[in-house]
Amino acid sequence: MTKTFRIGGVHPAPNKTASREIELLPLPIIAYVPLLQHKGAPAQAVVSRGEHVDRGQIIAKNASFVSAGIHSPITGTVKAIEAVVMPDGRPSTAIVIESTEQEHLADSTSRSEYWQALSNKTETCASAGAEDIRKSIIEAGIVGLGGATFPSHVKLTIKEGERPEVLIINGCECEPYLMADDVLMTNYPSQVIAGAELMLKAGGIARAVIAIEDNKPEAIAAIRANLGSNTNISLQVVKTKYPQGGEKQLIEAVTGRRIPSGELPLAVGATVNNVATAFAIWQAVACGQPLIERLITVSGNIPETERRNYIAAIGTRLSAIPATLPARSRVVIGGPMMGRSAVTLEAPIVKGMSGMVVLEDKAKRPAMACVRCGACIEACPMGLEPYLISTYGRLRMWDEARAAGVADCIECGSCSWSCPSSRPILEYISIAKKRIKKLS
Amino acid sequence: MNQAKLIFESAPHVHSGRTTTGAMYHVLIALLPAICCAIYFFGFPAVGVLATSVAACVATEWAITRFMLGRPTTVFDGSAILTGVLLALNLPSNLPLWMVVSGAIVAIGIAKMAFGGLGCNIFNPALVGRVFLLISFPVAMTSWPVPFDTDGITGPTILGLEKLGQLDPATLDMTRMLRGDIGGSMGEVSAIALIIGFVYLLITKVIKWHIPVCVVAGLALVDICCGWPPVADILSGGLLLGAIFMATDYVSSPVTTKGMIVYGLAIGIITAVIRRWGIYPEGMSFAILIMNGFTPLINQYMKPKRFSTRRKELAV
Repeated sequence: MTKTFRIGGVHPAPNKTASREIELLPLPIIAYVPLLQHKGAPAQAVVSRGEHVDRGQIIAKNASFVSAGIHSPITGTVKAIEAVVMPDGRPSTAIVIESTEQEHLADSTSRSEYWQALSNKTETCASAGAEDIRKSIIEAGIVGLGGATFPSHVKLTIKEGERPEVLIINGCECEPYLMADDVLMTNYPSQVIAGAELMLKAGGIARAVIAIEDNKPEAIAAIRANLGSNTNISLQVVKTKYPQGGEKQLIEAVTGRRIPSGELPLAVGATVNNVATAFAIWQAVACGQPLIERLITVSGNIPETERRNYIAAIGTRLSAIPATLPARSRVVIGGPMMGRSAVTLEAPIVKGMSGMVVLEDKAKRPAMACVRCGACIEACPMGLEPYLISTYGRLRMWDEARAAGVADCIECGSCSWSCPSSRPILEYISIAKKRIKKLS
Repeated sequence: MNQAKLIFESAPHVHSGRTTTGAMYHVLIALLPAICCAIYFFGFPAVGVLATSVAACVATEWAITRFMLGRPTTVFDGSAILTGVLLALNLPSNLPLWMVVSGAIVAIGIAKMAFGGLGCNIFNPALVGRVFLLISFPVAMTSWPVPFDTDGITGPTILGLEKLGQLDPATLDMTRMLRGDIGGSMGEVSAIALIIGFVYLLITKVIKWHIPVCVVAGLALVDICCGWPPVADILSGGLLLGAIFMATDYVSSPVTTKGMIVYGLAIGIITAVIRRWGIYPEGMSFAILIMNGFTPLINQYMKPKRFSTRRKELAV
């Protein structure tokens, strides 16, 4: 039976029109690898200028427990360690690596061989113990690939008595345009399932549920066919409704339990990880492959032949992606509901980037007065009153905003999406949210 | 990748495409059957009242934004036109045009712009205009032209007769009440035309069903409890016009579904009470305006159900 969350939600046009083929985005000659690609402390560089590095070699170590190591996506020489602008606009120190032509060719060959071999590789690594798996995850620098980029080993290091009852593997991909998770599950179903097994073992969790929205029949069929007689992993088809892939919404859809305000998923015995994370963990354990590449969707108002799903190396500049941009573009990193628009195309692809959606920037409709039509209330998946909180934010009424539950807001953007007066509802809510966090 | 101007904007980057102006024009389209009926039944004077009301509303809003507020004009958002049409549909077709103009000035000037314009008014502007006219010119506002009449004959409405105790229930013709060739204000007479508009508004998702249905239910409830036949009550006296097009005004009605139900039921009950025990034969306008005043209070207490309960609440 198809399940869903109960409050609010919207149905933005899906626009999932990219080609379902997975293609390799050519490796860059120069890679810009930021040290802050995860939640927590920035990684510490362990290479210096002029040093030679191999593809997959660790170039920055995790600085603390909540941090993640960084690996070189190409073979080459460290040219510089300098500041770059990340796709989300934040600055970060990055290690710049340049490869020679021979190194580039050799890398490209071994890379395509690796991916060719991967489809047929189905090791389940049943012999690996929990400690080994966690070690592999740390060594591979794996973080949550759904966009949250929380270091995965932290999530799977579980204290006794705090063990979640269920691991939810998030394959909803409710954002419009994005298809990376969909094609990943379609093309590598057994690997995703094996990754989920590894996560269960690492966390000592009893069962896993792979949740997929019902608009992805290929992925559902592939996962179902590969689950076989697996008893501790099951498939849950969920309704296509935004934000179905939101952590709180998905937990409610799958388990029927709602996370109390300000609490973590553990409060209701659940933990959520993205399908791409499960796949990366399987690659780390089964192939010893660190997280140096990921699947991204390139889509939007670009020619149809350029709407593709790529395996892209971390550190590749956005400008290297084949895309014919409209004259005035919003280059959205991630999905169009929650993603941020890039300020520069020189920004590198990072671990948390699930796609690049190019949208033609049309003249913005001027915001009209709020007529209290209630569309935002209807849309809000947290049961808040966005029009009211937004007004509190605009008028700097922080206490009222707090009482109205601004801290519960997941910033999914459903309110602004549905507002017929085109008011920047979420912008004012975000301001109030940040302000209140600062005050408390 | 080619060169392009990158625009930095905050999320979300896509939009549903619905607009407030679009909603206004949808309501105007939904009113077309009622407008056509008004013109069909009451002829040329109806056109005059409609045109005058719309022109006066738009002109008032334009003049106030232009000369008093110094803001860019808001007459193109459709709301002034809608107020003009709704005001006209609440008037008898033989009302002197200068009265129509004064009603329009009160509706837009006092009920809407004095409060700050669209989104800020507490009371439904068209109804304020109508009630202003009803109180100021009670005779002109209650002499209803007979449909298809060209000689200036006026007659009472069904509710008017009932108030005077002169209504013979046996003479009630439901078909005529549905069709609309009965006495009454321009827009209220044809129940069928109004219901077509209601269906259109539901299909285009401009309004939800709760307010209109609850208004009718509230009225029917009182009627049934007191042993009065509810059907004639529902089909007469602007109840449907008010329930479908006036009580559902976004700005002056509650925001949550729960609130809409309370608001709708209260309007229906108050209308029935005024009709039976008040001095006016009709009570719809007053009932809506009274509940408009309660809307902020309803919004305060009828909050949507939150996703997350707080820990403390769980422990209790």
